[in-house]
Amino acid sequence: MILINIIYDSIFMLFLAYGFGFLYYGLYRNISARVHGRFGPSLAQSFIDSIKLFTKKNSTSFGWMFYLGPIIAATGATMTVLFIPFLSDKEYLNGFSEYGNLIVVLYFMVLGPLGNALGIGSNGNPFGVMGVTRGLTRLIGLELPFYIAVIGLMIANETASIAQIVSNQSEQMNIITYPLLFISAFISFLGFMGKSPFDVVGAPQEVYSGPASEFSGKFFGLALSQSAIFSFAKLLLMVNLFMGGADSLMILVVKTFILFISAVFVGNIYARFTTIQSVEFLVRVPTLIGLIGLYYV
Amino acid sequence: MFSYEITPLSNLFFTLTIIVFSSLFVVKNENRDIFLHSLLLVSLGTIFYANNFITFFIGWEVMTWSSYFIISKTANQNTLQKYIAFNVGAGFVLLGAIILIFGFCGSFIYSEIDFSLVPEFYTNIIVCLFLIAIFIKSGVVPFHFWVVDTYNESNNIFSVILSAIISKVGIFTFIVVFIQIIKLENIESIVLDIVAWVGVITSIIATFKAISQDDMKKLLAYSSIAQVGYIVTIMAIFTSTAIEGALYHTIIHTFVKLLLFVNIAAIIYITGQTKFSQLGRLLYKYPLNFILLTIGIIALAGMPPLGGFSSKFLIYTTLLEEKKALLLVAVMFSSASAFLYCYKLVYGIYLGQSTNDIEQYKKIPNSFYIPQIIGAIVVIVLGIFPSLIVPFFNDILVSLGLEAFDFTSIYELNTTISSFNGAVVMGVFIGLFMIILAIFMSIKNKAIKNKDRYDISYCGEVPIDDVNLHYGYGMGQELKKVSFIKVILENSSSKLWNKIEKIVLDISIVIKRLYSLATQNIIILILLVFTIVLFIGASR
Repeated sequence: MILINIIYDSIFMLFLAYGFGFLYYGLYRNISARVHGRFGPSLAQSFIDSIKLFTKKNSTSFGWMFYLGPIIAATGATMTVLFIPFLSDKEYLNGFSEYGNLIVVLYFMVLGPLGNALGIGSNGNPFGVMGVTRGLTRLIGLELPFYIAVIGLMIANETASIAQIVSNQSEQMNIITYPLLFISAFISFLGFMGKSPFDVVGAPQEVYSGPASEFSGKFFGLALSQSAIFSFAKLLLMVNLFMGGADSLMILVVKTFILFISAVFVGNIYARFTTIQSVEFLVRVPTLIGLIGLYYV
Repeated sequence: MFSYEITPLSNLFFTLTIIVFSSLFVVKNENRDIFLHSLLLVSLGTIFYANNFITFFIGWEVMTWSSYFIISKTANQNTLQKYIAFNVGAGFVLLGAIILIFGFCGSFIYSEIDFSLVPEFYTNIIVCLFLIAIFIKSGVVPFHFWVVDTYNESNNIFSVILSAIISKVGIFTFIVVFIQIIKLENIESIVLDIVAWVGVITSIIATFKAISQDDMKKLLAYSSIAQVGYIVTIMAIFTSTAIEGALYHTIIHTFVKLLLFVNIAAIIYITGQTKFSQLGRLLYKYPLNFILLTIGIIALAGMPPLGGFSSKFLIYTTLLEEKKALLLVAVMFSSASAFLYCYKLVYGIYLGQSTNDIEQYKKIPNSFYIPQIIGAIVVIVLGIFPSLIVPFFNDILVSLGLEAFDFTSIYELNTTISSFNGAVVMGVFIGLFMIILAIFMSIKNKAIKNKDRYDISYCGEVPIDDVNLHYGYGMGQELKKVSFIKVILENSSSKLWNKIEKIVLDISIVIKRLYSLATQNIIILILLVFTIVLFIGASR
């Protein structure tokens, strides 16, 4: 009985993550367009793109690992969603979160990129691997401040359970209690969300190099869907860790939207760092802020 | 003189040794010397089951020399000198510590030694001597100078034993000496803090060095150093969670390195190539080997749903329990950076573009798969049942006088900070994977398989043979541009050891002059020494 409930829950959670992931992606394209002085595509465009890619008649395959790569990536992204509670103190929309904890979720977040990297490596395109290398190198920089913030929270709450960290914030959100930790986590979060100045160039844009070089048709569709779901998972994690979680779906939407929109605005202001520059920056400024924050925990 | 005692701890280590030795025994290996390998096995048994320092020390020396002779078959002079200088040095240091303990406590037998009899000044000396011996054997920075070349130049199969078992002798010695004999209350906390930091610095340095290697075995050697670094860090915490984490990581690392080294030995056996820049795209030629390596790197990186995560989880929660925030940041940073060398390992060999004609390579002999499959099964089973070995650990912890661990079910790994359910994680992973696979494959669109390896998107051009398409083997080169990594990559402990070598040479020249003195001068010298000794004796 419990299992069936969890399965219904999971399906609903994945639909929500997929829907909001693409909705926010559409909003991002719109807002960026307005900043550039364009109108941008309609909100529905990102959904249309996703479905269109799955119905493309042809796509190129490079053997079975090319199939498995994006599938492992999608598994990683969906698992991340299912192990983060959507709502606090509720019986539903919590998926498998009681069987995992924050450390498990942090590791799931790397499973997706690994699957992607395996798929990209198997196609033999040097430009794809160039993107992967940039991404993984940047990850070294991104994870340091993020881990400092997360460790600070885990030590302050003496637990690694996300639900516990959320319920400890019932009086005051962590964003107010530990502002320095939030700042260092937020700077990393910009990079995790693929926003400037820490983004890695994607293949279809400007420069012809990046993780998605060889993906076409349904492969690209899957890659795009998993990245939408994954970006919602990251929003969810930040909301749970620093913004006190959410009691109802409405509050969840508002909180993730606020977080998302601030990431988009910051991302639109700054130009992109090179990979080396972003690692150099990340191991200095946000790390230092995080360490000061950690001292006060 | 030889006396033994069976303890749960020695059983654990000797079982690991037996599994590794016997699984490697089936692997095809022309250079295997049965006599020396048996001698090594006996010496390891002597070390693990000894109940006094004399037996232990004899085992230690036999281990050093038998592995020296095995390595000497393939390694060059320089590497051998490094190996023997460091390991004999470790033996001397260990002997010094043992004699000091005997001097104060009057016994070599572990259970009879009352360490509180040792004066405080000598306690620190003994602790330092033991630590140096352990650090040398386990290859902790800055004593790792001998490790990489030795691993790289020894027989491909023997590297497994070096990495999986011999590096663990240091870990075993640490637990026996520091927990059973010296005991926590006799060690100053600053010493333990230093040990913990030495461990974590080891792992960070070794991780970045590993990323920049072009040689497969060197990459794995550095990765071994890094993993042992985690174990050293966690052991210095001394709580029962810490020792459990250390033992767990020891087991995982033993099996993962068994898997990875044998995997690479198979590739070297077939292709004769040892560098990433000369390999590539072996994925479709050796799919099973590829899958096993992928399992290995997922466990090495400590990702769920495999067993590697369970040990990483224990390491993190120990540091959380003790509120060692900075250590934890450093450990997590190092293990996040490890993804890069894990990916490099799988990309450089199996993915990307081939740099050779891969059609010429023969089939991998089946015997190479056996140790790999054993390693893979262990990490998968420990992923599903993370608490499967906790009862064994509890025996060990109780025998060491530590608190037993909370054990509820074999699916769930509990600590005071948090818990996770391995079976659920694995179940969800497999379930989601199957569902996504089924949905994806049910989309009826045609996927056309590319015919030629040059059939890739290449800026609108067609790549030619001269262009290097196997790009990723150079992964890690760009890290040299990051200032703090540049410091790590450009400096090496060899500078330090070269200086020490020069000093030792200078001293030996002075000593050599003494031997060439005239006879009457030598007599005067002997008389002088004799007088001094008499004087000291009389003043007592």
